[in-house]
Amino acid sequence: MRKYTLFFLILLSSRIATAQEGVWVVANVTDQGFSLTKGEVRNLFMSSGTSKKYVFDPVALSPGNRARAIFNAKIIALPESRIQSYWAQMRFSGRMTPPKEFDNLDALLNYISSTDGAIGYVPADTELPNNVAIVYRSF
Amino acid sequence: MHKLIVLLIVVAATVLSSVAEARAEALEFSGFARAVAGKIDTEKATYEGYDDSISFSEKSLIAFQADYTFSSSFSASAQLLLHTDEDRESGIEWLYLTYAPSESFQINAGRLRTPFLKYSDVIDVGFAYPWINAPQQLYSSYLFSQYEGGNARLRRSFGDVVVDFEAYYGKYEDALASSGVNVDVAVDNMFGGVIEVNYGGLQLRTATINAPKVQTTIDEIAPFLQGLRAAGFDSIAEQFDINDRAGSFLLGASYDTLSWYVSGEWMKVSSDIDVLANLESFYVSYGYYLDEVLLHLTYASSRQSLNTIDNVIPVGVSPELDQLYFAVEQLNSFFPTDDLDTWTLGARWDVKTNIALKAELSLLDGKEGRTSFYEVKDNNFDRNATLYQVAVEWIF
Repeated sequence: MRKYTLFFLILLSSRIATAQEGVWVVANVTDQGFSLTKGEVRNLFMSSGTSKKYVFDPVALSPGNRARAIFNAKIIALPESRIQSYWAQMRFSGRMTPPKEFDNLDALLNYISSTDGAIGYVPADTELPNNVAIVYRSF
Repeated sequence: MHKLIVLLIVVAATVLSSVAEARAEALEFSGFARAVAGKIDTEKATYEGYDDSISFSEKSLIAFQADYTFSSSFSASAQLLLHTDEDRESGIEWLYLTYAPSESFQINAGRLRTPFLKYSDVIDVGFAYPWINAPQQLYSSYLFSQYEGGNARLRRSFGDVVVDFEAYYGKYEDALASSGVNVDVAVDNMFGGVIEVNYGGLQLRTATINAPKVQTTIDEIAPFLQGLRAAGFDSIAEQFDINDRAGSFLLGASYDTLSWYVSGEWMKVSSDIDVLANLESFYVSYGYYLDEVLLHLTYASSRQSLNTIDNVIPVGVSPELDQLYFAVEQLNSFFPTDDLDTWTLGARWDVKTNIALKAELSLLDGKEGRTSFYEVKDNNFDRNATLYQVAVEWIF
């Protein structure tokens, strides 16, 4: 019984931890005052759809990265397994492929800062290259 | 023998997925596989090919997809499917060219799968949906599953609302096996479309399939129909001629959150073909996530309106006419009358980001005297059974 209590406490604490951390959605855009809503960010990462007149290139961190878990929970609002099954459906029906994935933050930021229109997410308070701007903040 | 095929599939997949990792820039390989075992608890009928002994071969499959990119807007895709089901042929399932001038517009031409229900064009990709067996009342009955032709897909955003439109046109040809009888079906002109609205976790869908003229040939019954005509019963023979309009209409809705979802689809298949009665079916499903494990419960139901074969052969006049009368009745009972209610309880555990284990139990409650999606072997069968299944789903 104690084992289960411990298990649930760990589970609970990990959820609380996720709830307290934030992510920034960052993009390589020339317009420094540019921003997106939460709904727009979600649509960009799930269906490349946005009403804004920018062509974006969404990129993600690989599963297992903490910032990805926070982004999934707070912005996509779907569990990782549901996101994976969604992309399987899109790929094998010829509709879309998922955003390009990077194993670590440095590789992700390198790509964003060297690619026009690239957009990704990083843990809040990450030091950003000069040409990368914050377009959405989640707390 | 089937176990051997499953084993071969797994070995082939392991080898090929490592090949896929060493892929070239323009050519990409991917694929999916599923190994499914199941049985039902009665010996009086089979359901989906399952009988009372454990079978691995009804739904297990492996598929390889190759996508070749010619330029930023042109690409070609092929999907090869290897299946262990005796009633299904292995082969090229998808083969098409894509022209996508922008992210929000694409045209595909070639051999394609018909988009209709939420998962109907990925029904072989078990990883893409929660169940092992998607509700049969809809997923096995929505009419024409693939076509040769073309489609156009358009995406539009209105604020936070994303709307997808898809329209298609093509022809369908297939040889179906129903209760051991071969049925050749041909549709020269088939068309339809899908509208899907997404707003956050909410999705609303509607879809249609239209076939103005469905041509069906059943070689086994041709001599019998000739006999009926020779005996002067043209009106009866005509009712068994399947050569008319058929169509399907769908409404669907789902809401997904971080810890649960609800989804449902309602569909109506209607036709002017006498022996293929109209079918109405729906399901509602609820799922709850306990970390990596999803628990889900689904209720599904179908009602097929009664066949309206007007058997005008007089009974009791002569033994020959009596025989003919009963032959017509027997032939009529060969056509499906699929009234079935099911409760399905299932679990899905995503052990890795590309592998899921599933277990599922379905209570099948059919109507006596109807086919109810079964192949009945013993007429005393009450149309109630339990289906047990376990599966491994894999994408690579």
